[in-house]
Amino acid sequence: MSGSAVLSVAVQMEDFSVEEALRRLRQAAPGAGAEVAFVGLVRDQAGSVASLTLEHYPGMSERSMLAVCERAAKRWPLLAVEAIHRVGTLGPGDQIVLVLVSSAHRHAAFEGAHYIMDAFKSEVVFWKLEDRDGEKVWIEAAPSDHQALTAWEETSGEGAP
Amino acid sequence: MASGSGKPSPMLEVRFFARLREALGRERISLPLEAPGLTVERLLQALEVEIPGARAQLTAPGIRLAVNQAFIEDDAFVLNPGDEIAFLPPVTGG
Repeated sequence: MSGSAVLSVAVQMEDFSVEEALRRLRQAAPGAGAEVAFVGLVRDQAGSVASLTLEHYPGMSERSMLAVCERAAKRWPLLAVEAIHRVGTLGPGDQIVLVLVSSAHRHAAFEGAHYIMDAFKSEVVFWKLEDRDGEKVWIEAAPSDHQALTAWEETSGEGAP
Repeated sequence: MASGSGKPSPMLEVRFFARLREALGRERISLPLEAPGLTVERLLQALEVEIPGARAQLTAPGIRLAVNQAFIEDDAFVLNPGDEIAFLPPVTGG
């Protein structure tokens, strides 16, 4: 279904080490010519965000991440993908999400990682609750995130997944 | 398998997440399933009885239904004993 790519996803409270994850990626699928790493951080818009709490649906959150990675591995010749999404309460500058992709060549690795992150924004099952100076606000889904994913579907030869 | 007399009524487990959980004031509810093949519409009616106002919250734009941890797009979907149902607000991960 997803070629021979080695896919790994995890949801965790604790922080992650990009270096350790890259080491695992390399061990999982040796022989890559390119590796791309994307790290998402908690943004602090104008210093107003005290904390961000991520809620998930244990089981479904992991499945939704894996489904996106499988689709990417079907579309590009990827060797390995490792994705980590954190949950719990995080502060400005903290790491939230990691996507690592390896491939024989850079184009597939760049595009695969880009697609996975765009799809994560619209499809993985997590919710963000922002604490803005003591006021707790559930983040609204951004239409631009959905448009980013739709753009990938339009460029796919197979049409929408 | 259940055995003996007094057959326990099959239950449906319904879960609510994020702002829906807060709006409804609870994160889950167990409902007796009167017959296999319950429709989503019938489920919404049963939830409204248990949690007045639930229906409007659960059918608001963007709310999606998951059965056994997979999104359901079809209103004609039927639910069976032991199914895990979840109502999910628009996701905002990544």
